[in-house]
Amino acid sequence: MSLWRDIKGTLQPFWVTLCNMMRRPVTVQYPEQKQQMAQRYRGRLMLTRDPEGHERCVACHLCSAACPVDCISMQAAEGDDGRRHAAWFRINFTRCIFCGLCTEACPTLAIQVTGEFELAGRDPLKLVWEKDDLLVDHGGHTPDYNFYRQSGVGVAAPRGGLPTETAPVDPKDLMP
Amino acid sequence: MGVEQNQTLGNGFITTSLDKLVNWSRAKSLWPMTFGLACCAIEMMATGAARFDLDRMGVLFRASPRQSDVIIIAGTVTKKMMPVIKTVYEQMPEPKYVIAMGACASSGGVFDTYSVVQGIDQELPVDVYIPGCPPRPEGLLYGLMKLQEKIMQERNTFGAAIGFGEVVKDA
Amino acid sequence: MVNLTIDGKQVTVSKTATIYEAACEAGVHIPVLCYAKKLMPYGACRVCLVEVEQMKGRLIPACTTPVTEGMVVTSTSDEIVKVRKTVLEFLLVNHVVDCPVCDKGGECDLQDLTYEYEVVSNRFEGEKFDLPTDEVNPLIERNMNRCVLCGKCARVCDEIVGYGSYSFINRGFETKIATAFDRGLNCEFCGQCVSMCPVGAILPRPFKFKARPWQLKEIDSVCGYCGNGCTVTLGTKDNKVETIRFNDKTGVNDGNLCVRGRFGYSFINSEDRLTKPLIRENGSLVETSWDKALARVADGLKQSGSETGIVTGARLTNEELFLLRNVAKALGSENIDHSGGECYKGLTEGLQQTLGLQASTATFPQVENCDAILSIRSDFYETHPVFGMVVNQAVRRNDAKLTVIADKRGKFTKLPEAKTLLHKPGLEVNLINAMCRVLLDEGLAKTERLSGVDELKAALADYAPETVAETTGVSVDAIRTAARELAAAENAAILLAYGLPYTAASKELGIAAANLSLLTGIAGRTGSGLYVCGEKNNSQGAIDLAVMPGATGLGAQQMLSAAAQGQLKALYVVGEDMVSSYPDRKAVELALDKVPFLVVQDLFLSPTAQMADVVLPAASFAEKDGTFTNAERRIQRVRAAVPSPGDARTDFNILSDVLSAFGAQAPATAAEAFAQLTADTAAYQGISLDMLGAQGYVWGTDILTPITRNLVAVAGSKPLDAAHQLLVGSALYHSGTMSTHAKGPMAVVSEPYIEFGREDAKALNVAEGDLVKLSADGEIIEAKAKVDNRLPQGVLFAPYHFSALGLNKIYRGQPAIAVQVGK
Repeated sequence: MSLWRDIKGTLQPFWVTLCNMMRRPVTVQYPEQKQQMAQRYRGRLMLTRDPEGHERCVACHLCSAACPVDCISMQAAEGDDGRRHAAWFRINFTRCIFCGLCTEACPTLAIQVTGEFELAGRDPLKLVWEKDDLLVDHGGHTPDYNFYRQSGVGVAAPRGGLPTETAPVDPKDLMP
Repeated sequence: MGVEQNQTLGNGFITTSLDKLVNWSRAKSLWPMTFGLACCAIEMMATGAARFDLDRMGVLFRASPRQSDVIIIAGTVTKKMMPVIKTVYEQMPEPKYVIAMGACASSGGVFDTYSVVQGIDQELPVDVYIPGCPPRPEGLLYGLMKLQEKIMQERNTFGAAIGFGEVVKDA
Repeated sequence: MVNLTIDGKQVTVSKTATIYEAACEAGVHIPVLCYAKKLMPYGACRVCLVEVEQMKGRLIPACTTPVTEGMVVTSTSDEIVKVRKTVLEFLLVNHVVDCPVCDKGGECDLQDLTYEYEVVSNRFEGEKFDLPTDEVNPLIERNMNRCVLCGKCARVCDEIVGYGSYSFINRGFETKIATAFDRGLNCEFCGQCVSMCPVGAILPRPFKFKARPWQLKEIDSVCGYCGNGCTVTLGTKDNKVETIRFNDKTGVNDGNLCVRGRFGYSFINSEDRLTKPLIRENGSLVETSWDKALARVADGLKQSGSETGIVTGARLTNEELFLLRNVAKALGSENIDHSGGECYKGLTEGLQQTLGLQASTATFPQVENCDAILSIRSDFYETHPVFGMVVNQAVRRNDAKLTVIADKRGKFTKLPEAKTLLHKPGLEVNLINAMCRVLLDEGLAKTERLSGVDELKAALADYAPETVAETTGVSVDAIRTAARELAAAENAAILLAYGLPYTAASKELGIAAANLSLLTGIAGRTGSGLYVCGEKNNSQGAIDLAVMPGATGLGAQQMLSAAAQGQLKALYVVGEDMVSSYPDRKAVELALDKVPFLVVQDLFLSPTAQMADVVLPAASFAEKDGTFTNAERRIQRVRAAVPSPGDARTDFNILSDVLSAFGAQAPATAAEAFAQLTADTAAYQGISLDMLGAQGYVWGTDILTPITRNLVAVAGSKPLDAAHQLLVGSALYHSGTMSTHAKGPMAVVSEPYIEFGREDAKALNVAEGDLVKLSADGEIIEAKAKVDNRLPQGVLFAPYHFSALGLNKIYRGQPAIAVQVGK
């Protein structure tokens, strides 16, 4: 009976809609409701500090060399205590592809990713972030790591004074 | 400087309320021209889908430039595609806006080569840049909200709509 | 020739080659750490161990083992890789892991080897040192915690430079490289150790933290300081010269550099560089545009026409000198000269009259194999340090007998078994005449084919060794031995440097040296040579291109006196600071004051430029394309590395514009100019730019045969009768006045000084750093005193590079100046 078929055909979609109307929508009501990002989500980059509060970045240019789009640039400088740091450090976020290769390359674990992705802006020049904008006050994902404590350079502690090292030898001492 | 002062309807309460009304209606019903070129198109589609609904922001994708307010350049712009984009952009009626979505549209992104335009702002006036590769759907929504903020700040829109003076866009 | 097999490849090498050299020829890669081509094999690092079939039982270091016939060598195997890994682990036990903060990261041999052999963990834990970093000196930083004890720094300083600042001290695990008594580094600062160090233990301080090696663009060029013409590789970043790298693979002089070449590059980026043309309006210099400046120059020079004088320095490229000569021609003037007009007469008149040549007769590498070397003046090391390194190699590796005819001790006199004929100032010609007399008397002279022997014998009647010994203060035996050694040597060299501070008797010295070279047969003999070396980087080029007055033209000194008398209408000074460096400052200032139109083209606003009517900003050697000819007749290409600052233009461009203002045709590019000038110059005929390879091209082939062999009698001088005599000369760290704008040399010697010997200092009660006044002929100069032990009693020394000292107030070209010392 084609009439019954037609009536069914008209009413059945309404039934589907009615059922689905009662279901919970999956929509995330952004901006009122924001999702929690995965822990390793690669959002905006930041420059972290070591547990003592000094900035970790030693301007070694490894992140700049690893970056596939050349969006990181910096200039190294020497501080008063002989510590190497970045005189200026610049990331161009319009070029950045948020791949995280810089984070992998960094030997001091200075440059790390945050979960921030709300970066849209009106002025492209404002999307070039300087060191002041990138530097944060905490240690990021690795709050306990201090490069100078692993490498024995003598900045954080005199060489050989670290827990993983033996004490240095005095070359002028005649004892064996 | 000798620039002719733009004729406006003034800053009265009723005028500015009418302006706000016009701005609100424009901002909350932005109709983009679908211009998904590359991977950012996928994210744009994802934003339009159920999870991050664009329809609730009033956004309807129109296939015709004549019926759209904003063009979202989502993807890598090659030099071959550039004249097409220009033609489409020119066919859009005023007021029109441009959103550069993703690294490729903002600045050429990964592709610093002979065939890629280094950022759509070389040819079109861009209003919002959304960095990311590709930006998350929420990132695109945030960019759209930034554009909405910009539209809300325009002045003399009612006057321009009735043919009295030009829209004053504060940067 | 010896045949051997490396990794299955057959290779044939000379008997004296090592396995490593044979492997390089065969294209087999063997890693090395302590090996350097120019140093003797050492075998300290044990990284290059290979397996040799015939020497089973242990692994053999490839860099020290000479090849034998039929050797079968395996360069990699599992065991060898394991051994190399272990060696690297040993090296890394004490090596600090500060690659991120170390400037060498990116070009560090240890880093590359660790990466190649995948040394990711260290099985060994050892004692560590906490040695302080040596930053006492301004140029070189030594961080001995990073040292891998390869010994290259000590070896290069011993074998090549001859200064010997480093050695291994302590023993066993506590061995380290240190200076004498473990003090801070205080040496010549040639930076050879910096180049040689494979890790970041010795680093250049001016370059600290500036850039990573992969960010630098490297361009090979020629150093713009002295006549050695060493290859410098300019490392540039963002259009600024950040550092100089050495090139020991294809570089001239084995890639050796001195303190000026290595650290003296900062004048290129100096903020004092002139960036805009200046014109004198209402008594002061104001900035203007190029069009206006050039129009003014053209006007002024057109008015003066043939009564224009052109004075240039010898730092311009050959192409620019060629254009300058064309400018002189366009003006119809024959008054063109360079470098003060007097100092080069040793070549242009001295050697011309005797040998018929105007250049050194051999090239630098020959000196390495010499058996006897005579250096006239010990200042040769101060003006040409890298040539001094070649002499040092001859002395150490070839047991060459070095004799120095000197009025003061210096680096040369300290070399092993060097004999110094220390004479009273100004009497070099007397000593050389005495040596010629000894050769003639004892029948050691090779007089065949020589003309003028009898005349010379007659003229030398007054120069018996005994007489000269009394006049000069040198012992008779010393003179006789020197002469005999020089004659007996199969390969011998005579070295003479000339330059602005050595104007006295330059022609006579040239003739005397040439006489000696003829009598000993050095001139023209394979393996021997007479080297007359110009002070500046293109002094030889200036002579080859005849940048000298024509028959009716005025020389530099005559131009100055003509200008003072109002007979010269205009003076065009290019690249020369006459007020600071020419003898007789008063005369120069008077001349420049009186000349109606003065144009100065220079890099900085020198005292000469301050007196000019038009100042044109020029470019340095790092900003132009062209060629330089060094003192051994090697023509090398100079390449532009950075753009000029502001509106400064190269001398080539400026001179082209001047030429077009006169309607004369100028070659469009430097390459065209080179083609034109080679056609125009007798010695350069047939040379094209593509013949200039990485080592340039030596015109006239390695050994120049003398065209004539005339002995010319030349008279010596009388000693100056004064209690204190001042000698003028070059200091090692500086070259001309250009280096006083460079931070490197200025960090070492930043002020003018007057040097006293210890005896004089004691007698006059002068201590180091005291302000002393020297007066002569009514003029007084004042500077801080420096007390050293190289000056004999009664002799003082002052370098001429600093304009502030005003040395040329009392220096008028005399060999020595009688002075009164006051405080």
